[in-house]
Amino acid sequence: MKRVPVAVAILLLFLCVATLGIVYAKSTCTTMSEYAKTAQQYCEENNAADAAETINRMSAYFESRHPVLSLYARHDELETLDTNLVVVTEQVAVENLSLAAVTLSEINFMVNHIYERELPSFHNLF
Amino acid sequence: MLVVFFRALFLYFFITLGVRLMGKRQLGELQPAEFVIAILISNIASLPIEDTSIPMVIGIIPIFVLVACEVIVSGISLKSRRFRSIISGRPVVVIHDGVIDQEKLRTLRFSVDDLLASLRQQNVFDVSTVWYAIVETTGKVSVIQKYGESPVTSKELHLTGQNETPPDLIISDGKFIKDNGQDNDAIQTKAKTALKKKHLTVQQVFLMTGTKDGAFTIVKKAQRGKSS
Repeated sequence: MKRVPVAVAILLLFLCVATLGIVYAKSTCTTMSEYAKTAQQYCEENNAADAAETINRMSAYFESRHPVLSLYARHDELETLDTNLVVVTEQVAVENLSLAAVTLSEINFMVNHIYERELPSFHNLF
Repeated sequence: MLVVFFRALFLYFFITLGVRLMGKRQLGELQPAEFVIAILISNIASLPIEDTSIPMVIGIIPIFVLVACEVIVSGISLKSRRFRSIISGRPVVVIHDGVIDQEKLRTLRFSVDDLLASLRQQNVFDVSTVWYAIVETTGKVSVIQKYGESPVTSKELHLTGQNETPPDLIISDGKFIKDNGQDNDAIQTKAKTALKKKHLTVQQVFLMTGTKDGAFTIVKKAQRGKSS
């Protein structure tokens, strides 16, 4: 009968870990979205320098969150985000700001998608 | 390739841990819920091995959640007969006094061929000799034959005798077994004396069992290329 408390403990542990994972994804999503929207605004204002700086900070932030996210988020989705960050950096560097705005919008969508994937909802459960 | 290799190793370890956590119930006769768990675990485990873009936790968490649920359900089943009958069902008598209950067979979707095959596996070839045949919750059929049809017991022959404890495993593959529940030093001393009489060392023995009375069974290790 000792196995039953261990089993209950395992269920509670995984519930806590999963909840923490959602909280972590949410905070990552919120921060990345803010960066993406700010950078998009700079792109619309043709401010390449500030857009580049914001994107660099966004990339550094995502790099710091990547190791933990990769434990539970799909790796191919994280790789897509990585690729988009590289692409948008290059687009801003060559001052192709309209395309950069589009890529930033993609990044914003992907980040929100990664968070929504982790959140239990009718859509996800069924 | 190395990623797949290590994932397979990790999942093997976690699945073994999970099966151990479920205990011997899982390894013996399977109840319906246990059968479902076994199939699910094997399918879930293959997902992170086949697709390296899926994180390992996507395989590990469901396996342990299923294991934990199984342990909790079997714990509740132990305490509650009603819950047990909901999860596992109840044994059903399908033959009584040589007469097959066809309605019960229909309810169980148990064909006559299945029934006869189960009876034959228990060396029963004539349905009329069966007193009770019960389909257990595992699907296995238990049989009691009529008096006069079943093998005679020593009690019926008024024979006297003693209950014997099964022999203990003393040596396995050239090494003494230390956790056989008996006084190890005394057993080892007796065993060594028995081996000395047969001019054998412990390392030369493949299997040695013994009873408290000092009756030993010794199987020597085979030479390479020979079975014994």
